[in-house]
Amino acid sequence: MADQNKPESADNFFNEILSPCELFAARSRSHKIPARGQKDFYPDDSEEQKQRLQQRLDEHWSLISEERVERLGNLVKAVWSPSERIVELQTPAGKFWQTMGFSAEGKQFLLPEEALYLMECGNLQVFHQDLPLSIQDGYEAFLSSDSVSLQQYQVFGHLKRLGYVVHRFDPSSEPSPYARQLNLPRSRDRGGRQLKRKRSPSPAPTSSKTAAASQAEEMEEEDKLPESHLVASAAPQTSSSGAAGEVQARTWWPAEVPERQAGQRSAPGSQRWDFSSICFPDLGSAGRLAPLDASLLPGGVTPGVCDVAPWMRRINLRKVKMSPKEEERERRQRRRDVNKDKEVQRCRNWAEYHKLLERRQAKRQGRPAHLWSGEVQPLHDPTRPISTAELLEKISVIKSTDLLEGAARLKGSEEWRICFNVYQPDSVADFKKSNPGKPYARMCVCSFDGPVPDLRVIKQLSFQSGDVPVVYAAVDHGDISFYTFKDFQLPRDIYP
Amino acid sequence: MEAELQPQEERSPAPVVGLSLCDSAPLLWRLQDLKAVRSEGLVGALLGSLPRTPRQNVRLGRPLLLLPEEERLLGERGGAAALPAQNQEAAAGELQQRYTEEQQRSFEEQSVLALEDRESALVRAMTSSSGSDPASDEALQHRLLDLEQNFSFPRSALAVQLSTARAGLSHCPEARAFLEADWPIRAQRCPRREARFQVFRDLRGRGFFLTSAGKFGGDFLVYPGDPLRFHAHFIAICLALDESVCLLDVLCAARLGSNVKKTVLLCSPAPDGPVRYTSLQWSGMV
Amino acid sequence: MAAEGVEKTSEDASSSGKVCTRFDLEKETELRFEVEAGEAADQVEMELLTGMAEVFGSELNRNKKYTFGPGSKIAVFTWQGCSVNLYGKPEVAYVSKDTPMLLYLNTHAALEQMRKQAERENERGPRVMVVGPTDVGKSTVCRMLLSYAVRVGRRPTLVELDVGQSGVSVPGTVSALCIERPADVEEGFSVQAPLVYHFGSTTPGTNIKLYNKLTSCLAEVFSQRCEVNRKASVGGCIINTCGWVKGSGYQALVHCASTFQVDVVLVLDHERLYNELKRDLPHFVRVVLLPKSGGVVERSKECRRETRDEKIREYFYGFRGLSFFPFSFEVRFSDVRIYKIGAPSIPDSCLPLGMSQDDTQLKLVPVTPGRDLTYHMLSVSSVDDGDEDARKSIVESPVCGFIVVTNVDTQAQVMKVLSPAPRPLPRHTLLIMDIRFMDMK
Repeated sequence: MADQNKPESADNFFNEILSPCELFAARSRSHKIPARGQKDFYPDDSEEQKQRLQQRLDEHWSLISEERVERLGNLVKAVWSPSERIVELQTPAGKFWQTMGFSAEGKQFLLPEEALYLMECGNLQVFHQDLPLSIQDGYEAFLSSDSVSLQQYQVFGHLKRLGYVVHRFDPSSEPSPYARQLNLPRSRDRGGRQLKRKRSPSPAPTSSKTAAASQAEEMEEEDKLPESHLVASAAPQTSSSGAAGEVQARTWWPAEVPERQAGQRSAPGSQRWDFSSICFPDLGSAGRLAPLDASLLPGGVTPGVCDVAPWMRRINLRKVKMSPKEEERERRQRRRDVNKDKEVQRCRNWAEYHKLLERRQAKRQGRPAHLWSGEVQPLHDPTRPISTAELLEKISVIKSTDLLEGAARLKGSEEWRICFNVYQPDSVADFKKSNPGKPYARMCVCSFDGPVPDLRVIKQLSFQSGDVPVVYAAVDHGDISFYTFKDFQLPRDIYP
Repeated sequence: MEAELQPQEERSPAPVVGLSLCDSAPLLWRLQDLKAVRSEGLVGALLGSLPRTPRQNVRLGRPLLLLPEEERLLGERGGAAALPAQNQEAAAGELQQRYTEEQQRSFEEQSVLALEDRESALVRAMTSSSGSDPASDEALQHRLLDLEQNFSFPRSALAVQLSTARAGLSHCPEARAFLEADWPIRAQRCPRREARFQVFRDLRGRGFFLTSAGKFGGDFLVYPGDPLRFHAHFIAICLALDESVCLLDVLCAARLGSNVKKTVLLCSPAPDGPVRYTSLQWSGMV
Repeated sequence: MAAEGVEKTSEDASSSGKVCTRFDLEKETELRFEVEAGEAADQVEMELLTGMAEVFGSELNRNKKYTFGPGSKIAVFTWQGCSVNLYGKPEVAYVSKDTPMLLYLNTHAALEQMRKQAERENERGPRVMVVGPTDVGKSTVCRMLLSYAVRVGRRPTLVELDVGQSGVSVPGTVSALCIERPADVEEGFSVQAPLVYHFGSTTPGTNIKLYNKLTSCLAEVFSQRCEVNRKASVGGCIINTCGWVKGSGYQALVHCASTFQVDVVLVLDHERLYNELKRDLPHFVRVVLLPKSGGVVERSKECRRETRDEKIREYFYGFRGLSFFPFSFEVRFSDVRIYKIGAPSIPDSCLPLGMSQDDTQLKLVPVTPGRDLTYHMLSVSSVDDGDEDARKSIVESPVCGFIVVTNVDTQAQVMKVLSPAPRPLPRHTLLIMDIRFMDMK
């Protein structure tokens, strides 16, 4: 029904404006999409075919022509702010607030792509200069190559329509390469615009204080522990002497595994014991022992002088019974006295002796020491058994690399960047904008007309994305295809 | 201006369509423009959410994105013109006032309609339950009167239109300078684009409908009739005549074509005229 | 070695109506008595009446009755002379002059001299390995030396490598225990938080590679403790070893000396072993030959098994079955992982390239729970098997306790276990032992 107040000529021009009557009638229209029938293979110019085509076209045009009509009460009202390229809500947000928008300075905002999508869904009416924006206005005003491009919006809309939660990707919210190297825990409140406000300026001082205090207490506790605890642990202990008559259960021993650090032993620098002055009652080397110094003995022990000689006759000289096999081995191993060796004689302690043995071991096993002393060493020590797979790995000179190798050094490119964080539809129910968790994927939007991302780009973006896969959305006019580049480890059939 | 447009429409079978640029992509918004290009056998691609059921990707709605070839074809025929970029700062105050008035008028009309709706519902209910005896008739009248006096149409129930195309009382009035004469030349002329365009124009000239074929690894999908009713027969790959092709690419294309039951066409426009078509088929001989 | 002490038997049964025998001992003599073994046997009580005396280095209180159960073999030694009452009927009881106690005391004095030097020079104290064939009193010598050390204020560490007759934990384990007070005359050293490793069998020969590995583990842990605890470092350690002194057993001794970097080796009553060690250990290690005590008696196989059983019973029920109360509960197979350390050996030719038999000896082999699990002891490992690395570390990690399988229900896929503490098990990784225990008492 045309507007009576307007000149006839405008009729055509404004024909997409609905009259109040049409608007009212639109309240009860269907939401079903007509099914598309089977297509034909060849046009045969038959009347039947023409008819079917016409019918399909009519259906198509009626569907396309349909205008969005919503009850005013169901619409969230918002205002477009072109200078900030942002949409500010004027009335309370709807359900969409759970996954979209952000608040700042007590106001609620939507990013342009979010606003446009909600406009298209018939949830939002955006005004500019007190006049409503059409969808077309939205496309033309909100989308531009320097903020959100049309192609990016196409991908955004496509994913949103499928139910995904889609957020702009903020590179600063990702841990830096250095932080990643240190494996620092991810701080949640980095980068999030709305969270910056919430961050309290002063960290709670009490918690750190108590932590320190409790640590000190713990240490004190440890000091009090009887030294029988070989394993330092504050596990409660049972006293076997317990209360009289009280029958109790034995607890599990503290199951703490002592930390093992290798090679931290400080070796004494010299031979320490002068056994000529420390007298053992050795039956192997006869002699009378000097009277004992009482300070070495427990109280109340007052021994006489000890004579070793009488005992020497009584020592067990019995020949050890040995099987022929053992004897054979014994013969083969008939070693010289290790101490006849000059080098061994020079060793003053175990540390030096161990070093000597190590050196000799290396020589004996056909491992020329000089090969191992330099900076460049043989690929493998033949005395060290390893599995076939490990060995193959070692001797493969050309190594396969993975996608992330060397990626940390790459600089970001202007042309390629990750646009969106994508969260799965099933996460919507308990989705929190403040703590969205790990995205399901990250989206990089590219055009079918443009170049294929090169290895450099793929590496750099994968590295930036961390353990979240990067998906490349290639937009071919209306079609969007999603591709991922994944590391592929060639299987190796080695059975160790 | 409108007056000028009308006779033009009568003269030519292809009316001039209004293109608007969004992020440098040619978009069609108005239904009549969509219909017009379709009638010329140009399919384009719909990008927007469908108003009826927005949250799905199977059927999309306006706007319609034109392929560069479609855009150029229209341009060559003088069948397209750029819509002015938005925002000629209008007498905003006047428009806002008109918008408010319109809203108010719409509200009043819808109030009346809503009341009528309720009344007729009441009448239907009363008369169907008991025949027509004077007592009930009187009761009905009483009830109707009662309804009329107490009816109020809440503001929130007002149905409003969220316009798709820019028209009417939006912040950017359309009325002035609707169409400008010429279409800026946007197409970048590179050999590949040129080849694509030649092929597109030739195939369209032969009555085929074409859409982009990125997902099939080609330039165009070629339909014998309107894609609404027909399956595509060919995957067109556009190559300059002197362009050398990697055998692997050819094999890939052929293999893919046979998998989707379409014939792969290698299309090369000759410098001066017709386009050469070569079909590729995987023979499957063993 | 006749009994020379004065012996008086009187019927004036003081308390329990038992026969009372009084022994008067001269200085540097000892009273040796054995309590009859077997379940029916009576206990024997002993009381110091006058003078001073000690049992294996621990002093006796005067007028206190010490009780010794069946199978006990006790020597009461006096430096100055004393008189002792025995109540009950010991199998043997005699006083001997012929004791090497003075030699042992001199050994202690030498070690103490070393500790003093260590204290002065901020070095580590003596590490002593006690070796010798079976039944020469190695454990007793260790106990004496440790008790003497504690009595002069030291905190030595006992390293128990005798997997057959452990003085610290159940058989089939190696362990280390810090000694803070002299051994109890009746109970021995109090065992509160020992460091125990699973070996799984009573002879080192069943898996010598594992035995040596565990020795190294203990050495490493001990060294680390010495670094952080000065007293432990000065106190040094006394290492008790197995009675297997030939072939691989001998090699294990040399390995132990090397990995612990021992300073002194005490060889008990075995000249050949003494000579071999002198030949095979570097000159800076003092090898000392000592006699065994005449009181040491050879134990039969039967007797050894009984001692082992007693030790296990003691673990669950406490000394004389009085101080602890074990729990019995069911454990689902699905809740635990049972392993055996060491795969059965296969011919070298069947091994994959680059792999030696040794590797298989330290492998964890999963055990499918079945009826044959019944009565087996299981160690509860202190680490759980997660990835490959964790599994490797299980072998080298201490255990937090032991359970015994008392019944297996293959249908219900559960086993009933005897456990020192109530359920649940602290870890789900269990290591099976060859050793079985039937809870008969």
